[in-house]
Amino acid sequence: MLLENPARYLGFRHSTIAEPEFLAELVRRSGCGLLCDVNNIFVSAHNLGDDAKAYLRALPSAAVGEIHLAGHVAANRAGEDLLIDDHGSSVAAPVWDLYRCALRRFGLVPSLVEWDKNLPPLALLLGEARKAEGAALAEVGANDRIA
Amino acid sequence: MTALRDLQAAFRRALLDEDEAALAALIEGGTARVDVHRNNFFASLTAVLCDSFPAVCRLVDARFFAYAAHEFIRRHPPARAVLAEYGDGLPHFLRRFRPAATSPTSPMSHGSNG
Repeated sequence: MLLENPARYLGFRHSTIAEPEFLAELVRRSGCGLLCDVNNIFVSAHNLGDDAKAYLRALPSAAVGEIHLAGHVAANRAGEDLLIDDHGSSVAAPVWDLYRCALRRFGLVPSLVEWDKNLPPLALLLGEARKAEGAALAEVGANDRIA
Repeated sequence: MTALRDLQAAFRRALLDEDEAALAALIEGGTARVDVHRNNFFASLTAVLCDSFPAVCRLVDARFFAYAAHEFIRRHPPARAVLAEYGDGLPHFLRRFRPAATSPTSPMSHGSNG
């Protein structure tokens, strides 16, 4: 079983542990794996004022069995600028950047681009898939050269 | 320390527009952020109802279905975790839902021609 990190819009005052540390402890105690959604990390980090790359570094890398990418949308709620994970547009540039970081850290794991609202022409979807594949091959290629 | 069940109960009341004060005391930032969860809650359950009652969903105007679904969800939120089983009370609800009685395309209409 792979547990996915959520997109978050709220922080809870009584929280005593950061989310990636919580997930790492969950993995240690239960033996489950993780599905790392890099768009959710980016959206949550923006909404809660956290550091997306620090979140990525805090995840237990051996547990990650899949990566998700998606688009998000900006929204204003009563004067607060939020990002909402809506699976309705192209993957944003900083999320591609996080994806490359994730590949370097977790290696070549299956990746999925989620796009299930405001569906575009098929060619655009295939372009996103090719972009993900290109990023994965580039990072793996770099690892091979190091090895 | 906040018990999980208290947090969940406060979250539920806030989602259903009953009371945001209890949740406001537990979260960082304003309760406007709860709107994101509320929108997702109603939109996803409306989609579940549309999947479970495809004929009703097709026959009535989409805005009417969304309105009726919203009223149903607010009064009868899910009590079980399996969403595919949600909505078995919708036919009963619609029979007593006054706006449905005057909808000309409504299969639930019980007007004078019925």
